Amino acid sequence: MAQHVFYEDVTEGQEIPPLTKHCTRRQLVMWAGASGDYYEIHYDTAFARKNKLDDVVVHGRLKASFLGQLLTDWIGPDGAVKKMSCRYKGTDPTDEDMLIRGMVTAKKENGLVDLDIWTERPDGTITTQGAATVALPSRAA
Amino acid sequence: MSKKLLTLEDMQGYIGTSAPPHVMRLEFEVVRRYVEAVQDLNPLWMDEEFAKNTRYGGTIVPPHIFSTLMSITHCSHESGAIPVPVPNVPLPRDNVLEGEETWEYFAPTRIGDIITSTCTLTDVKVREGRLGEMFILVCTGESVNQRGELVCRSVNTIVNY
Repeated sequence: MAQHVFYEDVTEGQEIPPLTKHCTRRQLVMWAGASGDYYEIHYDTAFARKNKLDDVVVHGRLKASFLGQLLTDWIGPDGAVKKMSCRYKGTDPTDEDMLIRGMVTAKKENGLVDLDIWTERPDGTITTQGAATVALPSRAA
Repeated sequence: MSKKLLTLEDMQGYIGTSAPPHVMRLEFEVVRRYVEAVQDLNPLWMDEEFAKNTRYGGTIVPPHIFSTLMSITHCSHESGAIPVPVPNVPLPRDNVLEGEETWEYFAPTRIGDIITSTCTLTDVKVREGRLGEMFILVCTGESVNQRGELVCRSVNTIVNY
């Protein structure tokens, strides 16, 4: 978490350290309170079923926050996230592991690095697919 | 249901409509609840002692907190109400899923900052999908701090089916 990654040490194609999450319904309720998103598909099974879902699903923006955490954990306290995007491709149930992953796709000028970022279910299904640009400190600075 | 369903043409008439500005003061407790919900315990967010020796010279709020500050999330308070991106724009169908989002960051944000966010419906499309006919609503948001500096710009796509 308090690591220091420098621009010079990064290579294209490199995978960054993944995060593992395991969302319980309790965590979704905490997220609802913290974010103000009280949509019932995230904590009420009967409501979720009425909405063509099998059960409650993890909030998309909680997954987006996990992707943000993946980046900020990796870049350390002297890096900066410039841009992040994600597409919610599939829903995630509670009570299973979620793998949050990222890979460097390009090194650009001025310490900027592009990445692909995504969330994965245990069977390998990608449920959130995104991209990011971060600024990394230089060893020369 | 006897209610007349809104059409793509009806919805396109709402393009350019903005939500009333949403103002949030990022108190310590707001950030604490957020990082606890995400389980993101990076000391850069909450530990002044640690953060004062970083390039930021003090704690900042996680950039991903902006996922909670714009559009869809702060609009649904009544039981059964679905979250809507721009409250003064009706939704043509009953169900909502988040589609795709982008956040671009321009300056760090700190505890105590007052963030004013606006959200404007910028595009509406219809697509056939797994769940039948789906409306794709695109909303563009901007957040500025108390000094008037743009700190984050977002583009959010909501799927309404």
